[in-house]
Amino acid sequence: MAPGSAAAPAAVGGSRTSAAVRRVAGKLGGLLLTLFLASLLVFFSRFLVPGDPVRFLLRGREPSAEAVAAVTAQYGLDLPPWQQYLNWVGGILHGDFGRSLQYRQDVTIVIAERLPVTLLLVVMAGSIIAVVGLSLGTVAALNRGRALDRLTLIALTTLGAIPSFVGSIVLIAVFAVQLGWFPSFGSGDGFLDTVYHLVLPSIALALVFIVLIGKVTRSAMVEQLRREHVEVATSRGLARALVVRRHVLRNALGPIITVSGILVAGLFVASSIVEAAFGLSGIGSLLVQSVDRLDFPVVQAIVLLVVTVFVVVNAVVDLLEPWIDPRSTAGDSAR
Amino acid sequence: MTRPAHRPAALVIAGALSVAVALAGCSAAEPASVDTIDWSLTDQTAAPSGDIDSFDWVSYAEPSSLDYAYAFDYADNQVLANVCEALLRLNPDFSLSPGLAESFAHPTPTTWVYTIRDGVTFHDGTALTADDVVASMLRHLDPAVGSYWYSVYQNVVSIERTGDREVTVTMAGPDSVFNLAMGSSAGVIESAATLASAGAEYGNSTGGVNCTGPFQLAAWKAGESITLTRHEDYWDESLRARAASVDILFMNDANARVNALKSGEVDGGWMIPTEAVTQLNESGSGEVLFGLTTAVSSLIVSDTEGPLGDQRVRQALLMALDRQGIVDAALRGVGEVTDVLTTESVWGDASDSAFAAAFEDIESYPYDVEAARALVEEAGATGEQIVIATAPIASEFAVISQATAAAAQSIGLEAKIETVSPSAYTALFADPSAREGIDLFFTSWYLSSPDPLEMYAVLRTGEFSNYGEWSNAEFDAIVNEAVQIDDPTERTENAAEAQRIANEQLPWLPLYTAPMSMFLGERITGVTPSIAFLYYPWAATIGAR
Amino acid sequence: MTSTPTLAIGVLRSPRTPRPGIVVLASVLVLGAFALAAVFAPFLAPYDPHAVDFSAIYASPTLAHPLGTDGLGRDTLSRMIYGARTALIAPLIVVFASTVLGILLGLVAGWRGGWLDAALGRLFDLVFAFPALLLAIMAVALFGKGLVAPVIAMIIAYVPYVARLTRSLVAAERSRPYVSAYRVQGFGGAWIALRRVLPNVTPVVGAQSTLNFGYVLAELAALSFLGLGVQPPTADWGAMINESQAGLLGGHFLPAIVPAVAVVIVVVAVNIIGEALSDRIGGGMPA
Repeated sequence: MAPGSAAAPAAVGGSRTSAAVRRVAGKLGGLLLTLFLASLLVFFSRFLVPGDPVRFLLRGREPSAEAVAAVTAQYGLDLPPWQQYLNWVGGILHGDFGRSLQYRQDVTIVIAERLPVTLLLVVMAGSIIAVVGLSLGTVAALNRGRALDRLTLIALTTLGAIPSFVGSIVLIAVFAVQLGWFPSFGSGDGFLDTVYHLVLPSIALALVFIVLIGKVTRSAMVEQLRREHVEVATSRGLARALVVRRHVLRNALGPIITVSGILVAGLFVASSIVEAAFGLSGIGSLLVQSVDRLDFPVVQAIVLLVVTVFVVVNAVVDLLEPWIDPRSTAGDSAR
Repeated sequence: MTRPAHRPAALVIAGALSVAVALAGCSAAEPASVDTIDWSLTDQTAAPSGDIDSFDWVSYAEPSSLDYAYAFDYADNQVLANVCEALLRLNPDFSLSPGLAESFAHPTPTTWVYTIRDGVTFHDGTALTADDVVASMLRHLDPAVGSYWYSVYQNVVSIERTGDREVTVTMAGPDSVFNLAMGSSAGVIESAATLASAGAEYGNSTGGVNCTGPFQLAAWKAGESITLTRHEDYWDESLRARAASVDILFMNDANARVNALKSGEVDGGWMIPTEAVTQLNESGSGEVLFGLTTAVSSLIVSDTEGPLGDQRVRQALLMALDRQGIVDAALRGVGEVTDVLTTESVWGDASDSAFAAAFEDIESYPYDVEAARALVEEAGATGEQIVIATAPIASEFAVISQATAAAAQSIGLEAKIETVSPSAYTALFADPSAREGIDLFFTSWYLSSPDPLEMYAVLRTGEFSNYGEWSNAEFDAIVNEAVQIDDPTERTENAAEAQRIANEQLPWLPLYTAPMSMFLGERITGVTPSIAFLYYPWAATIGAR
Repeated sequence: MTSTPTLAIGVLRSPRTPRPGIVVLASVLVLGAFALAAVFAPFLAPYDPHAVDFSAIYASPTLAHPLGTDGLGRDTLSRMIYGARTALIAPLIVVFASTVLGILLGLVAGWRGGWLDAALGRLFDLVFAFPALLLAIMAVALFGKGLVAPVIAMIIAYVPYVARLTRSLVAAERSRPYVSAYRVQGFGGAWIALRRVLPNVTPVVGAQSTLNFGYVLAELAALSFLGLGVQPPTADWGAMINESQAGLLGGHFLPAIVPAVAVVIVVVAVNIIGEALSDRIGGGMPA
């Protein structure tokens, strides 16, 4: 019943929907803009390198006339830069990322063949992060100020200081070599065997991020627990567990999900370290290998993929925010 | 809220870390002393008792392509040799026998005529014809393909089908050695139809290959493994595959490979690191065997404008190197010092006199630092600097670069070691600009044909792999003349002379020759541990123990 | 007269905090020890870090080699001391440069606002889309291995974090009474921004930046571990862990554990100091 509002209640609902639509459109626009700028950066980064682009792309390889012709054709090196970029983007939208110099194969296929391992690794690590991080954070929040809280924080701080390559080495040394409980190398045959091979790598990958989720969970839940509606619910005699589940956890999910954008991109990039340590043939190790073997088309494609995933996940999280935490749009005034 | 947690957190970490360090210290092995290994050559392993369902093999790297035109490295050829075949077959003892060509003739000095075997089928069931041979060989001449074996075909003028089952190769001038290379990947025959339909995807994990060998390519899991299955219609009964399927796993990490062999996870592998030989033999899951090689490890002199341009300095450096010490330190004694760039295994055709001339009438460069230093002074090179390139590829590289630097310094030269990445090191062999500023780099150069001239042809003036641009007119003349001599025995006289000149002039400094090594797991037997595994279908000979 | 408002702010900001605890002091001492080792390496290291000794491969800790030797017989302690150089100096450069640049850009964005702020915001969004390690790997792909390209890439990657924080703080400060007080007195905008607002903002941002040191150190060490950063045989903790992997399967843990422990210790120490500084200065985003 805003003063001066001539609109009927139905129109209020209408303006809310149109506001939502405008919001979505705005976010999508922002996403596309960022993707566009990112693709510009990825494509034109090559131009930062001084000297002949052909020599750059064929570093370490015999610059035979045929190789030069192939690379010139693939990148359109005889065309003006803007046209080169458009051709490249056009190719990508058709799923064509060019040819890999080391495998003499379409980059799309080279990446597609190695994607499953990384995906499984990220999913497994994500599950560990979610379960362990959420549990630790919840336990700490529910027992805030007491010994259990301090203990959990210690555990989190300790884990957080271990970079993933250190974690990998320690896990290999202890669980694979010394105890022999897990394999130290490769990704196995068949689904179950692969999962078995990925246990240690996913733990190594998850370690650093468990801290992030744990701390965010804890602070989000602590904040919720302090809120009036929890006190109201508890004072009404509702079981504490019910209160936690219904009110606290659900409302605390907001900040947690916000962080997941950074999480996903971070996981993909950190996977290159873990894959290198455990000899896994995934996207991460392909990235490092392609940098080492000067296979620029593959490097370009992987960087673009990771950035796209990151931007998209963030945008999705941004979009979903009002539905996860409706009060965030109304502001904290709704106490 | 975080500060109070820090004290106990820090203490926990400190405690955990000290425990870790203590554990690590306790479990560290005693310093490895440089004790040498007792080794001997194995000619042939016991024949299999019967067929086997499958076995696993491990390779240090994934083939980057199974296209025979690009198959130049161990990783590629060890797989390809079982799947594809060439006109001639290179046997484990490095002799050549008829392969897909049932006979060959050299009717005129400039022509080679091959009669193609009848009744051979490709893996897809189609029959082998002379057209397939022509198409396969012509690919090496196609600049768009950019074949790594181009140098074998550089004198070829035409390749034509001259009969129902006959192909004639015409050379620009008299060439008696072209045929000897037809047992390597340069002579591999693929179906013309497959080449046409696969196009640019031929040989990669999408296009695959369709050849005539005892195994066919069943699966290629990128980055993981290749699976081969028996080709039931293989033409040669004597080499019918004993195993129904073979899995070749790729493991870049040397210790992961060794562990897999030790635990029995894989049944065998080629090129075992010498550090692992003892523990593998003691593991009880198999044994390490040594066999024939054609590889000589040497130091390539890549800058003949620098101090190493003077023959006396090269000789001095070779004399200052404790080569036996290097073999003991780098290879645990599994190797022999050599003063020539070829092994005896490629001199099968030689007459006794040629053989003696090649291996006995040569300089032997004993380890003598004093004499070496005098030579350097005589050459006026005292105080000059040489740059040695190396890479963390294998432990030998570190030993050899350090030893060479130390040797150089002991005779009054300055030495600098330049470490590059393994990819950059490979570039030394391909890209002249990569060699700028480098005086020496290590190589283990193996031959793909039973022909010592294959080695010496490389050192002629202007050749691509004559990395130091060494030029000796007498040497060129002898090698070029040899190429035209039809009689193999007579040809080896020239080869011996070329070897003598190379031994005296030292364009490359020969260090040692190390046997090919292989691990044979307890489940399998039948294979010969020879470097011919690069071109001979070794996997077909493996069956149950 | 000019100092009072800022003093007041300073007093209002920092809560009544007790003296730094013993843990923080210990962290400072540890870091100081590593820093000294880095600076005085040639005098402290008992051996040449490149000196190979094949008669003493994978030696256990002895008086001659207090931390043992690696697979080529090189003394681990000496390599640790020299390794502290690349391990500590590179992240220091990244943090320092990104903080300076970030503060400058954030100041401009927060103070001027308007289109400049929006444009810079877009630029930062773009850089945010690239995780720091990925940017470093891309830099290596373009410019080759070593530390130069990754360090520059990481500076670029971390500037937006610093800038965003600075921007919010500056924007909040802009509306505070003391700023208008200065304006009324006739002081120019630039002067107020640089001489009054910046000093209030810098400590907070600086404290946050020290936390970045730990991340950067871990990321650069990871890069060397991947073989893309510091190249062997140069001693660097990440590169040492990479080279020591070969020995792990043979049961030789020490050459891997020692540099790993060092990385963890330094990261923990820096985090402790950073968080203590943040607490003390009352940092973080303003309400």
